[in-house]
This record gives sequence, C-alpha cells and structure tokens, in this order.
Amino acid sequence: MNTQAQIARIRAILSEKGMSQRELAALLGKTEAEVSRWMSGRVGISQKNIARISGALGEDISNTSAAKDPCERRNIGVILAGGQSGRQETPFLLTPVDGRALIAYTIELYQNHPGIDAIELVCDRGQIETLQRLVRKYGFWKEQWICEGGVTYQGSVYNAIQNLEEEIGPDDLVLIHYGNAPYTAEAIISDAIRVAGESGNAISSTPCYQLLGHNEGDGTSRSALDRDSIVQLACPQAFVYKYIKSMYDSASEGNLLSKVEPHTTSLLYRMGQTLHLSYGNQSNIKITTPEDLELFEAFVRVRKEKK
Amino acid sequence: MILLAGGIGSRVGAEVPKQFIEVLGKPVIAYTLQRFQDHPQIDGICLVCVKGFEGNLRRICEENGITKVVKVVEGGEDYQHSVMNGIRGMEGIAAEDDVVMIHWAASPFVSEEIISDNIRVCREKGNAMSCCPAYLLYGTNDGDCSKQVVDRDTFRTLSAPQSFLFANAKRIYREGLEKGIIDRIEPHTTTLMAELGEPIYFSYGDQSNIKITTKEDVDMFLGYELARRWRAEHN
Repeated sequence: MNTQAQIARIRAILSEKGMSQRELAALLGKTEAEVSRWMSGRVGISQKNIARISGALGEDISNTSAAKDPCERRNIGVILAGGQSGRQETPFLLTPVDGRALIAYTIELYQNHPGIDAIELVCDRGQIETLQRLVRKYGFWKEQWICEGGVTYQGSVYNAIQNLEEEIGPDDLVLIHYGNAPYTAEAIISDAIRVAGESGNAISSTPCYQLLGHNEGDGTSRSALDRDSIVQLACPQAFVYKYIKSMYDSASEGNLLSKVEPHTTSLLYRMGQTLHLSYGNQSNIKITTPEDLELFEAFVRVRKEKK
Repeated sequence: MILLAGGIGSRVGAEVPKQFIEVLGKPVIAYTLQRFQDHPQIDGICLVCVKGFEGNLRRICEENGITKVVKVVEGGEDYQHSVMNGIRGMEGIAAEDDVVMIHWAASPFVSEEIISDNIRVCREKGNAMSCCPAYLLYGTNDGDCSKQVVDRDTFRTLSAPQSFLFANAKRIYREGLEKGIIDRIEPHTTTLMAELGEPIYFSYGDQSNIKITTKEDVDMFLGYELARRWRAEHN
C-alpha cells in the first residue's frame, strides 16, 4: 500500500476542486486536526477512511498504488443480466439510455475499474449472441465468459459460479453485481475487493438513513426499529471463489437453493455465515421502473455535460 | 401545514443549510413549497425557519409565487423543538379538528398523491404517516459484519409528510413534555408516539420520496428535476 502516492493524489484532487482540508474534514465528519495528521504522513490512513475519502472526493484513492496483489489473485466481475425465469430481464437491460444499452453502463463499471481483471455475463436464454455483439461494439475486452442464467436468481448465480470452475483459481475473487445497478462508484468496488480479500466475503452496505417503523400488520406501527442496529445491503457482493462455490454446492446438495429467498445474502445467512461489510452509498440504486430509467438518463446527461 | 426548515443539514457538506442548496437555479425548499402551494387541499403553510434565513425565505416565497404562507416561526434547538414551535405557531389559526401536516423542507420529491392520501387517512384515523415497504435487503449491524438477516416484511420505511388532527398533535406533545419523555428519546415524532403507546397509521408512500441527506442525494434530485423537465418538454 503506497500511502505517499495516496496522500499526493488527495492533495491533487483537493487542489483541482479548490477544496481545503477543513472542508474535506467537514464532509467526513472528522476534525481538521485529524485530516491534517493524515496528510502529514505521520499516521497511516485506514482503508475504511480511504474509502470514505474516495466517496467524498468522487474519485477512488485506494487504487493509487501501482503494486499488484502479491499472490497474483484475479478479481472477476460477475454481472447478472438475465435468466430463464420468463421475466425477460435482458431486453429491459438492453433499453437505450442516451443512445447506449443500460447494461453497457454496468459492464463499463467493471471494464474501467483497474482492480478488475475479467468479466462474466449472465443472461436470458437466447441472448448470448446479442450480448457478445454489444461487448464487441463497446470494446469491453475484459469480458471473457457469457453463460445463460437459471430459472431462479439462485440458479443464475450457481450457473455463473459453475461456469467458472475450470477457468479461475480457488483464491480468485468474484464480485456479483446486478445488471440494473449502474450507479456504483469506483470506491465501492475497490472496498469490496479489499474486504473480501481480507475476510473471504464482502457485501456493500450503507447505514439506514430512513426512519423504520415496526409493521404491526394492521396498517399501523407502534414502535420504531433501532436504525443503528440494522444495515442496508446492496451490490457488489464479493467472495473468494472457493468459498462461494462450496456454499452453493452445499446448498444445492441440501436442496436449499429453492427454499431460501432469491438473494445470495439470504442463502449465506441461512447457512449461518457471517457477512463482512464493505463501503456503500445510497445512490447505488437498482433501476426497475420507467421513472428510474428516466432518472438514470438525466444522470448520464448531467455527467456528460460536466466533462 | 407545517414545513420544517429549522435544521442545518450538515451531512451534505454544503456551505448553506441543505434546504437552501440551489438546484437548477432554485433552492430545494422552493421545490418543496411548490408542491404544497399547488395542492388544492392545503390551505395554509406555517414555516419553521432556521435562524438567520427568514429574509431568504421571504424572498424565495415572493420569487416563486408561494402565497399560502400564514406564519413563520423560528426553528428550535432540535427536531422536537422545531415541531413544537410549529404547533404553537398554528394556535389560533388551525381548528381542533383541522388536519395539521408536518413535512421536511429537504423532501422535495413528495407527490400530490402522497399528500392527498396522507390527509385522507388522517381524517379517518386521527394521524397518518407516509410509508413504504422496504425494497432493499437488510441485515443486523454487528460492527464490521452482519450475522443475521432482518426480515423486511416486519417493518416499513417511514418518511414525510406526517399529519395529525390538530388536537392530537397538541395532546401528544403536551403529554411528552409533562412526562419528561421528549428529552429522553431519539428526537422524532415517531419515537414520541411509540413511547406514549400511540399507533402511527400508514398512508401511501413512494421510495423516491427521500429526505436529502448526503451530497449524492442532491445530485439525484438534480437528475430527477432534469428528467421531469425533459418529460414536460416532450409532452
């Protein structure tokens, strides 16, 4: 980890934005003194704080170091873009947004991320060629595998995992990402890689900013939930390959896949696993409705104008 | 209705309180005010304003044709005190069985449907709060990790607006003060009601109706407003 390079990069960004260390401190809820200590190089900056700084500045600081992981571990993005549920997920993801298919924005997150080595796509039956054409059109050369999804969410994830069996190493990381989540900041992916590398798994999470009321089931609430005791879980969900493969193999043998809710997190909780939490933010939403699509299109245009 | 603009919204990291951040040339609070100005069932607005910004607010109302403001009161030291100032401000203006609607200035995404349903349920049940099912996934917060799932069906996300029959609003806060509850609990109306054993009645809600809390939320609102304008242009 190259702290000096990171400090230099932070300085450069603050200068570009005309932002002071005090303003950065305010954004992070830290004191000016603490930020000043970080910038002096006298103390290390924890990875969690690097992630927070990245979020605040809008640029991923953690990848400033040039050194690659010593054990040459590869990090693979697995993008869920369909299955055989009959719900036709892939066509929705092909909806054009400012002239480009929605799914292209999600794939681009992983194509552009310096910590990601390869990409696997999971799609509807019969859509493999369509996606291959799209990948060629936009030059997403990191894409190495495409497979069809299963009849359920769990089936799709399991297909994706099994498809990689002869292709990647047991200690490589796979990052499972929803095809309709294109708002993911670089720092979110970086922190998922970091935490999964350390702890075996990582789920991008945020604190609960909204008020939560207990649902009495009769149209009322009579008590609040303690928000500090709950986290919101999103994607990416990163795992050491051998770990997630053994989880899904066991679940399949024990006939659990069809019994749990259609989420990887639900499966892992059911199997008594501890989920490790990595950085996330509220903007990383899933695009589901036509209104969400319009909002994303506006976001894409605003981003273009800023450049 | 009571529009709460008494806070400073420090987590957004802007130089002005978040309700005054400009999006496409208009402060966030102007958009929120517009929703209530345009709603046929809203008769009057009481503004709870953070100290020092009363002049700004007056100008914002003039510039945006906000004519329904009947009173401006000062924000309190925390959320509860702002609400209480707002309720006190309505004395003599609202009748006992009028619907008093409390809403946050930093929640400009609120739709006509949300406001209407909130009034409807309040008239029926005595109070109402806009809420949504939880669409995301949740787990327990065990520090750096999470060990158990939290079943989303067991709760609802609560947002604004929240309405009371005026007599109920006064009673709840009077009881809260008399029993010394207000200073003890997390500063929200919901926690006060839970402590007093008052049920909160759900009304319609939308997951886009968030309260702007972080810088990303401001960007999201910008995108939302742009999308709305483009849609309006092409129709």
